[in-house]
Amino acid sequence: MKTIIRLLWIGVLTAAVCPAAEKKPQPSGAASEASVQELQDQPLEPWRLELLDVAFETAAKMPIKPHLKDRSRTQAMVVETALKLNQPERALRYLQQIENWRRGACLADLAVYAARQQNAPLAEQYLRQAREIAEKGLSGAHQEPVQEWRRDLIQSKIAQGYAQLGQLETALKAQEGLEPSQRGKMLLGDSQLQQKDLFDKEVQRLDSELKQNNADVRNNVLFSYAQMYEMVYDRQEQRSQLEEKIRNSWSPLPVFLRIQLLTRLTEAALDHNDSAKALELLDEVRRLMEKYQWPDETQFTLGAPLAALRYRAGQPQEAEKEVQTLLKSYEAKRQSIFNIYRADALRPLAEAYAQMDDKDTALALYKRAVEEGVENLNSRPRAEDLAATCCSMVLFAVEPDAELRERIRQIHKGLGQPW
Amino acid sequence: MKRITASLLVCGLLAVGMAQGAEILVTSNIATSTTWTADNTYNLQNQIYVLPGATLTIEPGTIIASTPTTNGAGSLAVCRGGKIYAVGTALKPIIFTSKNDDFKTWRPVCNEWGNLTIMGRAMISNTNILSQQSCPLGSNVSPMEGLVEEFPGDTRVLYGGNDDNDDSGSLMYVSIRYGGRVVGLANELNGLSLGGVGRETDIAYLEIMNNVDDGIEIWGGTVNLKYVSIWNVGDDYFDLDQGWRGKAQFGLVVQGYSADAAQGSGVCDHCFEMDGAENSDAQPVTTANIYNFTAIGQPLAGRAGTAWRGNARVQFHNSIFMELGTNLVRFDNASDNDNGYAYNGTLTWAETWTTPYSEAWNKSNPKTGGHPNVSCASEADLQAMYQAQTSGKLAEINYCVFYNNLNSGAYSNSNGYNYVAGLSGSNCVGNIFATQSPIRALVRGADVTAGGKTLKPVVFIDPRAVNDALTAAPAAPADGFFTPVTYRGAFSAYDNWLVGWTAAYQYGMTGLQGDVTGDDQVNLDDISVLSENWLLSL
Repeated sequence: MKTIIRLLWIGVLTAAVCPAAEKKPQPSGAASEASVQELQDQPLEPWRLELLDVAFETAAKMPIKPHLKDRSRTQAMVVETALKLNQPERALRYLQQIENWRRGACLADLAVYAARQQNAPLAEQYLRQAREIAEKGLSGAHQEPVQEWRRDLIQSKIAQGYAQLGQLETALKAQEGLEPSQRGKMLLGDSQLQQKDLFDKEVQRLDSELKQNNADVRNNVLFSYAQMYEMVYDRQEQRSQLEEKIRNSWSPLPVFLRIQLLTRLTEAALDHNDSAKALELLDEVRRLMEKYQWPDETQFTLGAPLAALRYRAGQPQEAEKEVQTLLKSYEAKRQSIFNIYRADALRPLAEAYAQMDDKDTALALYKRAVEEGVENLNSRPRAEDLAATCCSMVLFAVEPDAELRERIRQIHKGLGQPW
Repeated sequence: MKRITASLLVCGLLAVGMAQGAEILVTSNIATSTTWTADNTYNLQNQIYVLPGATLTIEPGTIIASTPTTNGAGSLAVCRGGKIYAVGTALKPIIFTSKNDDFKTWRPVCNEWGNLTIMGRAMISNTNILSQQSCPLGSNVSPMEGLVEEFPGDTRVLYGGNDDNDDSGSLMYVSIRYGGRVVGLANELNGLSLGGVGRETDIAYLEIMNNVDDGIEIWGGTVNLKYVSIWNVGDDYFDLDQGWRGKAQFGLVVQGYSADAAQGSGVCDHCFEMDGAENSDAQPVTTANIYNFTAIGQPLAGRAGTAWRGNARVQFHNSIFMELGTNLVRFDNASDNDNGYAYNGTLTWAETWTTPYSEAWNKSNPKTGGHPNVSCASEADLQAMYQAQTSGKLAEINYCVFYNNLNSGAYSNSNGYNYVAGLSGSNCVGNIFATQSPIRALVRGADVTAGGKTLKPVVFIDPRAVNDALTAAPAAPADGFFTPVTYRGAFSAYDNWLVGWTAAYQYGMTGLQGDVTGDDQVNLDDISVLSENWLLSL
């Protein structure tokens, strides 16, 4: 009897399943509207392209079951890196392989990129695809339960895309009713902010968001002000206005966010060759850093970028002293930092050395980060670390030597059970 | 006859589904990612940690049945940086239980094994610990209640950090039964402990049946929960602390007992106990949003429907509170060992009920008020900023149904704040004092004495909405997390989501046995679903 039922059911199921299996599902969000002119990758050294691919393939090695969220998060990080390096074709190729909602977020990022490249038809195409994922989820079997912040993260990027296209009404509509963690993000782009009326409107909009009195919203608004600060740096009055707004509103936020905000302002000053202002800000951050005891991992992620900025600001010896102190601190605390967090601590130190034109030390630290990244027995943290280290090297232009290249290849090849 | 045959077939298939293979003794921490499969049972022999970097994957239908010991030795905790993926299905739940569980009959016991603890890196506030900051530095960590450091500096027991988007994994269709290790006085394991768990963690369809301490306790973090059922636990049912800023929808609380032991360690206490922060002036503070719960109290032994401490701000909407032992709303500041409402210039409790969700907490200077705590004065004017609320007052009980709350003080409070007025006044709107039950059926068994109290155990419920529970209330926000339904309580008129996967269903305490489709009939449709499920598992 059992066998008969089983055979019957197998028949029924086969009939039900096979037609579906024959249809290869089209990845939702794929750029299929061929009439639109595609974006083109900018030239980049082959070793950087190779490393980007390694990073993405490393992420993609994580099995969807159960690591869909971890895999997609890491894949999205590589897409973001590709876009930072003007590799939109590559970014598109990567994002089409993301199997959860993050594909929608990456599509929206690509739309923003396309809009900045003045490719409105393509930007709109990507925005439509991103919106489809935000609204309906990703078609296919691998989905997490819907949570509003995921949908709204895509939606907030869509709003940015429309704003960059100059469709401000659509942008404002797209960001209506977003949940707090996705509100208060900047909509307009660099060129738009150069127009005083648009700048004023954006400030007004962000000011009104600030009145929400919510930590997540405030966090986003202040970082939006910091982005605008960079964009309007040459306009003293507007720049001062933004800095004042940031300073007047940051006190309820965790202090590490204040340090990150000051770091952004310092970067902006240096990007505009204003070393005096940068040093003033750096001294302020240093006082804040010294005032509190930081968890081991946080100390490096916050501190190392500051040393790099001090170098850029014209105090190379001070900068070197700072980064050396951090490195010594890492050595002293290494044992107390759990192995999955050690590469996270070393990467910012390597990045700092890279920015201080000490590529040899940077390379040595990346090598250590790669080795620390495989201390853990499991491939999931190994893959996350390797992908992050590869992206960091690509971004900070530290070319791996043959030895490191081989080691990266070995580690990548060795990824597998246990995940 | 057809119906009987179908029932027998369904029972047979369920039994096949429960059949398990080898018993695996789990004796050491999980440092290497591991998958527990449904063809084995897993017996936790001691406190097992999923260490940072490791992932524990548990297949649908897997049973983790630990050997009953005094103060349940076997227990599972996921450390910060570790992950758990326990994703079952309605027909193949993942069950954490004791080996004494026969999967057929409810027993009045607990403490037979430990619990499931998940620790993450989201922000918490815990000013009880020296060196922890009431300023929101994002550097606070705390040792988890019920876990014991095995050596100085044992970081495995710590939760908290600065990443509200942290991801500890996914729990779906998970049933946790008969647990709750007693470590010491007021140091026990809850059914599910969530410390600093971030919003990228997914939790839905989770049941706690019988536990010595709380059902679910959440310390800080931003994790959201949907479809939770908590029965017969020995302390509070849904306990919030240390700045949880999350949302919850569709929850069932059925108060009872799990041991003949004192209230708080075997006999039910509060349905909801809410603590904002260990000291009220610390941030983040618990600021949460709860929709569609059904809370069924113990008329003689249970305590309050909601107990409020330490600057907690929680909004209850579209819920049912029925047959409570004492008050619906209890001002519980005095029970808190820390500094509670009104401490250091924070809002009084009464003010919390009348203050808009977006207001600053400092009553002397609500919008821009400087922080009165000297140590933080230059760094933070701590405001009501860390939250999951988007409208209304900081504390609300709106559009709820109250039924058969017969305690003379059910709607009043000893500290003089008038809740009768409050619950029907402008700060609490749309509530209904029902005269007929808002759920289809509630059957209590013979009185039981436990912990010196008389309990009226719930032996069967059909929790689906009837009568006033169907009076339309403003729907939960369509924000992607909440499901915008207009009924009150955790269940619609038609769908009993407990069916199929819960202990309550297995023990015959809800649903029609064999009715896995939830259509109130046991027929070939149920066999079809079960058979298909079985075949797919081959």
